[in-house]
Amino acid sequence: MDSISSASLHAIYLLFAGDPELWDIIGISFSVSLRAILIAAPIAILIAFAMAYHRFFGRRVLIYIFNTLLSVPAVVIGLTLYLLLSRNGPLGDLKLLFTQDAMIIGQIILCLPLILIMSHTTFQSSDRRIWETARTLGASRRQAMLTVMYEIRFGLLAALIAGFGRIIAEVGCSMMIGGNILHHTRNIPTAIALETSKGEFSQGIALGIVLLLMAMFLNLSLSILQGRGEVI
Amino acid sequence: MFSLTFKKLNKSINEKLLFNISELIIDSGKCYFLSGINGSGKSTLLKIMAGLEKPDNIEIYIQNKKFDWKKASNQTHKEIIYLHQTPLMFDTSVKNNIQYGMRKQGFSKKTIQEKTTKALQWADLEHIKNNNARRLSGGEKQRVALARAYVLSPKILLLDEAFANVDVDGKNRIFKQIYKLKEEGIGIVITSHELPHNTSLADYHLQLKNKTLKEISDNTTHCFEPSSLKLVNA
Repeated sequence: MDSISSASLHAIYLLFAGDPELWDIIGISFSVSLRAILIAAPIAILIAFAMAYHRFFGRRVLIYIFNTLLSVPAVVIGLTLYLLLSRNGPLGDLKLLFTQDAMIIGQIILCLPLILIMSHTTFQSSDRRIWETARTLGASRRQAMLTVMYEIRFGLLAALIAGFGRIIAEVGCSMMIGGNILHHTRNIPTAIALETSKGEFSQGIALGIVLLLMAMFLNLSLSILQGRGEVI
Repeated sequence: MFSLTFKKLNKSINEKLLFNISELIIDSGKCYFLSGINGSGKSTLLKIMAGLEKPDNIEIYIQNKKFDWKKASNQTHKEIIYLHQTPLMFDTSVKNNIQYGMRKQGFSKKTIQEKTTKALQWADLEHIKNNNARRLSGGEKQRVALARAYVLSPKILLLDEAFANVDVDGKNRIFKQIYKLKEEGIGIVITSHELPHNTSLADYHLQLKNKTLKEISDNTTHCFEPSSLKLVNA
């Protein structure tokens, strides 16, 4: 019990003292995951919109594929990417293995299906009159699409937060294709796994506190944006 | 005068024929009352006319010039406005709802301001211009929807059950607004099972029955006296 409380106190000290190694890890984590979300979100939301508002050949197959991808474990995606990006793999010449770019690719593959499926459900439950009203009032297809997105913005924001939550705390894929290299590819979850295996709990607890605070901040932001959260 | 003609118009839903219309002519400045039982396809017909729903087959003539459905819907996109039975209000103020179409169509800021002020007065919405439009009553929403269409000066207005879910006072207000729109030369197609009779609103009575459209010439709805603005409390 003493060791847990002293490790926790040391963790808080590390955070507030601005420990460079710790904040470097936090920086890498957010930088990689934010870049992954910025790339994945527009693609996922556009595909989700097309699947909800247009009928095209292969639409159901696409929904089935993304639903399947949603349940693929991160470590399997990590393994597949590792095999593809390793020196002898088909994409070995790109020399991406153990780089932040590889981690971003892995995280995009991880969060894209989740954002897509959640956005698709939100679009599906949206009122079709939004699209029809926008179009009949002279909005172009693009403007009407943006209007629909604005009207269901809280559902889409929830999808983005869920997607971000999945990748910021993911270990398996980042560990395999990032390599957990300090100052380069070591992020919060891989650092927690490493420090815990070494018996150094302080840094692990400090990073855990950061993840918890981030989760609280994101959910609080969503709640504030949603206002009273009642149906009008 | 703006004239729109639909020929060989048919539409099926789940491979079941909904209607097959040989010809339908809509002119600006005229009011058409479209009746039919529930499920006869009145709303679908209006949505096809507005370019919001694709028919199985159609020939469209705008000012006697032939267009296919896609080209016609792009062409008439800004000329024909469809109003839902229960109007959809965007999650913003009444004022912003009225300005929506003008902003999307790239009107100048000055024009938007002028038209908004005029429309708010026209629809008697000035006192609630900053209220969230979603929190209004059914009648007020219908008036916002009419004002939102009015500012865009459409050639044809398609009103789907405009008098439904509105109290007597609301119906009278909406009726007066529609009458003013007609006087301004806008063509109006209105579906309603409770259109006030003995009024000068409807010039033609069309009925969707047995999967086709027929013109009915009865005196209750086919009246041409513009001064007889009498309302019957439904």
